[in-house]
Amino acid sequence: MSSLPYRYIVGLEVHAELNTETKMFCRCVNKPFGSEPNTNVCPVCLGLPGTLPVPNREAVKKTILVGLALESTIPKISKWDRKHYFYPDSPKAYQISQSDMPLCVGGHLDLLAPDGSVESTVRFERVHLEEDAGKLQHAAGGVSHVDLNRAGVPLIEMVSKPDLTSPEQARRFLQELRLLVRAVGVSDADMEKGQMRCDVNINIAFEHEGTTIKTPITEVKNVNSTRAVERSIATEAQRQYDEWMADGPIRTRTNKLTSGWDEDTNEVKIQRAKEGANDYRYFPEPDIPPVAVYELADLNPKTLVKTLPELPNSIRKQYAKEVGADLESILSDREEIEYFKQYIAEGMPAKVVANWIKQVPDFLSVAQDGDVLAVYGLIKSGDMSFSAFKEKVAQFTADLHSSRERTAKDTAQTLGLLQVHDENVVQSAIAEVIAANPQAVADYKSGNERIIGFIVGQVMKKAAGKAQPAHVQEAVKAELAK
Amino acid sequence: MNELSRDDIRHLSHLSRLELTDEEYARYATQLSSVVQYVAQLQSVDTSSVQAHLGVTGLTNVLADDVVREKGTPADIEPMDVINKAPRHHGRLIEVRAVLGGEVGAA
Ligand SMILES: [Zn+2]
Repeated sequence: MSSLPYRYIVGLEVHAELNTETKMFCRCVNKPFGSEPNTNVCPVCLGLPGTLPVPNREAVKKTILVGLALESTIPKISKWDRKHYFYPDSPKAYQISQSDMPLCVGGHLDLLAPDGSVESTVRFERVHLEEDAGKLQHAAGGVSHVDLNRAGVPLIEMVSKPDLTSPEQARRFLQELRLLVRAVGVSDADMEKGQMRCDVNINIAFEHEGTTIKTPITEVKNVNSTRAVERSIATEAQRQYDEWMADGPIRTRTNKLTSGWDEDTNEVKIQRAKEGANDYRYFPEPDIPPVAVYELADLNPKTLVKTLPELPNSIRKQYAKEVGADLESILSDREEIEYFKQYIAEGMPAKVVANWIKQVPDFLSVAQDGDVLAVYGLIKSGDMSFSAFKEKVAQFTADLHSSRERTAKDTAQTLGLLQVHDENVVQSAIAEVIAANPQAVADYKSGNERIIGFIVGQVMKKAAGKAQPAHVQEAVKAELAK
Repeated sequence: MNELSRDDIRHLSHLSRLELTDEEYARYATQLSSVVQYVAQLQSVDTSSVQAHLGVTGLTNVLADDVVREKGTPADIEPMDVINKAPRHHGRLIEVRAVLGGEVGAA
């Protein structure tokens, strides 16, 4: 597949802020955007002494939902740990996180081919719940400014196994994960707003003088767009290969490097040798008891799994072949997914629903019970054409909703959209046209099927507005087949 | 590892962002070693029949509903009171010395 001299070994750590009402361990508003700095803060998230953090039940629930969507195992007990580091975005000088007993263990996400079949599977190490840090703005004069509105916002970390084998696959995986957390409804996952962020772990493998070389891993932090994921992986892999070939320190180094992605220069900037896991001095958070989710009715995974919405891959497996490319844009919008499933359930073909979602979205969004099916009925029966409906959809919607008693057919009639079809008129018109055009009829019968357009046109003309083209075409065919 | 070396202390003081003198490295190596040795006596206790536990309170599932606290509750502080107590601030922002090229946040 690749003409490169090496293979990619890539794993992603993806963070997503949960869309809860309140923060993770205090009841401050979870609103890191659009507030004055340091307004949504309290003694807990400011890290003041003597405060007691209490985990947000809804955040625990949303994390379990993500785990269930990834088919993770949800252990009976999970616990909280303190992860220590010094940086001004963390007022406590530690982050409450989960180390060895996370809420979700294992899991996988499939990437599908356009026909809905499984193309590749990316396994997960874990999904755990923690708190976000505040925001630092570097200012002039050697100072930084700290805003702690984001400090303590619930953050899930989804850690994949190093199953990704190309930059493109990694980008797709990230897009797919974003789609998934949105579909489950736990995060808005807007990467531009930092609601979803990604760290990339990458090394490469290649054959050299008869042995397989695996380079030490670099962790690239701050990879905050799907495009950056793709670019940073390609860039760092090539850098590792070049360093190895140039007989650089990478040949003997054993520790992991930490680096940051510079979006402006498209460079991987090496920061330091990563402190070993022990250097975060993890220890169990003494202030927060463990969570036993199966003991709580509202958090029991066996119950929660039944509340999961249908996931993108399940929808793709059913409809990707029939609907084609339009399906992807529907999957990225929860409301459109709802319409899609609702109208299919009510009996409309998937392809038609997908088309309507694209062509007449405003009609769908204000439609009342039965409206859509009534309009579809008129179109299916040939009483109205979809193009005529689409052209006047705004007027149609207004008229239809102008009174409770108004039916779709009334509206179509008022707006002159009804295609009248008088079978008697049509039949006599067909008889007349056939009699008057023996040459066309002979041509048709000798195999020139395209001539039927001419015959239908003549019939339509004669029927003078009392015939529907689709029905006429059928009737003409039937007549000529006699 | 009951006996801590100067390098251990150097490492710990770096993690804690403490600047120590050579004399202090030596002094704290001795002091911290004796603390560790004291606690290490626990290792002589036979715990083979004791179940591991995850906290000292024996509690589980202490969780809070996802509801914003009401005005006037103790946690409802005036943030400016805290901001004003920071050594430096810039309007509503707390001001710190720039940390560049150093550690990236743990999250
Ligand atoms: Zn707070």
